Amino acid sequence: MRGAKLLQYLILGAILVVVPLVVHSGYVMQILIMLAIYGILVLGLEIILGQTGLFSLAQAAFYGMGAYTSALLALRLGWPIWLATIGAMATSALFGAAIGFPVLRLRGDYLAIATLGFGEIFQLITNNWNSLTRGPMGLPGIPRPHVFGIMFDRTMYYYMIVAIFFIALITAFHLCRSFLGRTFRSIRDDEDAAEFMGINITKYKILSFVIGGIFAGLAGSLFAHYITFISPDTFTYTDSEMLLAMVFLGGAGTVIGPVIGAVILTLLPEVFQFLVQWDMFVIGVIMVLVMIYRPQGIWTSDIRWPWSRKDPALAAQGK
Amino acid sequence: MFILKIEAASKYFGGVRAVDAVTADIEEGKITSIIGPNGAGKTTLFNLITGTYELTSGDIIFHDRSLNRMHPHVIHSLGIARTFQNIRLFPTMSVLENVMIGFHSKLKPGIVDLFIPNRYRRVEQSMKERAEAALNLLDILPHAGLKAVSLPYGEQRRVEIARALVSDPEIVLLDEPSAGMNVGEGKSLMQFITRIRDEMHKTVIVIEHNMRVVRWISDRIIVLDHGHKIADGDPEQVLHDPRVIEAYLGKSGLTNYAQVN
Repeated sequence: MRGAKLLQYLILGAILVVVPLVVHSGYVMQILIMLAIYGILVLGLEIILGQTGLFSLAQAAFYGMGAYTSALLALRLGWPIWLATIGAMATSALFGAAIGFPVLRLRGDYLAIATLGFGEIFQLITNNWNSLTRGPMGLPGIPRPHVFGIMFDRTMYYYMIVAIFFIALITAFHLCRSFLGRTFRSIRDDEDAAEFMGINITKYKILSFVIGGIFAGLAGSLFAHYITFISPDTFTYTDSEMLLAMVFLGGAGTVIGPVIGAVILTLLPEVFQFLVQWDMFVIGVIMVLVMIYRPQGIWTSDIRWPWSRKDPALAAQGK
Repeated sequence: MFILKIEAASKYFGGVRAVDAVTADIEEGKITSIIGPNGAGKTTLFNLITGTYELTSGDIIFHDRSLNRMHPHVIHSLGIARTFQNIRLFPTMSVLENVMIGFHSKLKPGIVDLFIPNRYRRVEQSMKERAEAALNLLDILPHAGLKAVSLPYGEQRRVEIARALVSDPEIVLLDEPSAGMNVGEGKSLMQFITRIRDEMHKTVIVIEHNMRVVRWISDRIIVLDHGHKIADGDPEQVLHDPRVIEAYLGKSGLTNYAQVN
């Protein structure tokens, strides 16, 4: 069983390594890199929304905050990129905690509205603080990372970002499987009961926002240094909504699910490009159908692969 | 020896006096039952002890410390655990995980522990061991891997009690533990509650409606009615108190009862 799992990972790893050697299309590479960035981003939202059950509409704002922090640190202060990335993660984490303190007494819909407001504040600031962010004109010329004087080209960036994505994925897995994930889930399941069982819910909710912010800051920084140009309209409310859709489509509460949601919702618009302006309509219909027939999301914990061996207990029952 | 002192505790919801100047001392290592008709303020009193509500006036003292204005999780870590009238298990988690949560406040693992493999394993292992021991105590260890909500009602109650006991509290508050159980289940549960007192030496406060059960397990009974304490003492004495009978059966009931006796 363990061997089969290892083999699956090896095959997946081999495919990911070989892809840039075989595929020379810049378009495909671009999509893959964006997939990895969105993957990291939804992992953060999965911690906040899927595990802790906090309905946050501010994930795109944390993402943008990471991108802006990293870009500004590299552009204005000339920080090395890895340091700027750490700065971006720290800033997003800090603001995660900052948003946590005032709004965590709110629940459900009210929390969603408060986080939505936070996202809008971020929009307003980036659009209007011209001396720092150049407003709607955006920040051009963000440096790409380089090693030994060689600039990262797309392929190198791909390898780096895929590696970072897998580190993020493993970290998220570890968090969710540990006592921390269990604590988060107890808050999602029944906040009051969790508090009676000795869980300091305020602390863990803030921690959840902080961890989600770290993931978002990392994703934002990677995005900024890849695209080399950022402007406020990349980090709007619509993007937060898209991230929510990814988490719910893939399966909130699982780690892999939201990543799959991110893959689907990033690829579908590309696949349906021939429909011109109708593509979002078709995607909407698909979303509605999935929510009707599989409300728990595409990926759930009880999913069974056709090639994985049957559970002996179930096989004995003839299932 | 009094472990918990309730001193003129009051809780008003607007004009409703849910608990009104209740004074009672809970003895260590004894089973104290709180009884009373519906709406008497029993669960509100539990909620005051565990910190859900702030006291309107009065105080609750646990080991010379006032519990007033403390957060529920702090009170839990001091050593007061509870179960709920309507079962509140974590629905997406397994029985084992549900109980492991109860041990969290004793271990207080930090985020650093996550990234040191040795410590991480030790934390998880000790949580698991304690949870399994608690489940074993309540004879539900075989169900450890199942979803908690998939169990029958009586077993869910046991999981709740295991979750309360796993943190090794000094006082266990049980809110209608035998509600929804059949006679056999109720009986074995009551036997278990006396074991909590005799073998684990814990103080138990229990809200219960079944008078036969109450009479059998209690060392002491406190009767509430409309937020007031109307009787307090050993079972035989309290259950024959005319005011208690009146609260349960009404004035005409009292006459009938007097005639029967």
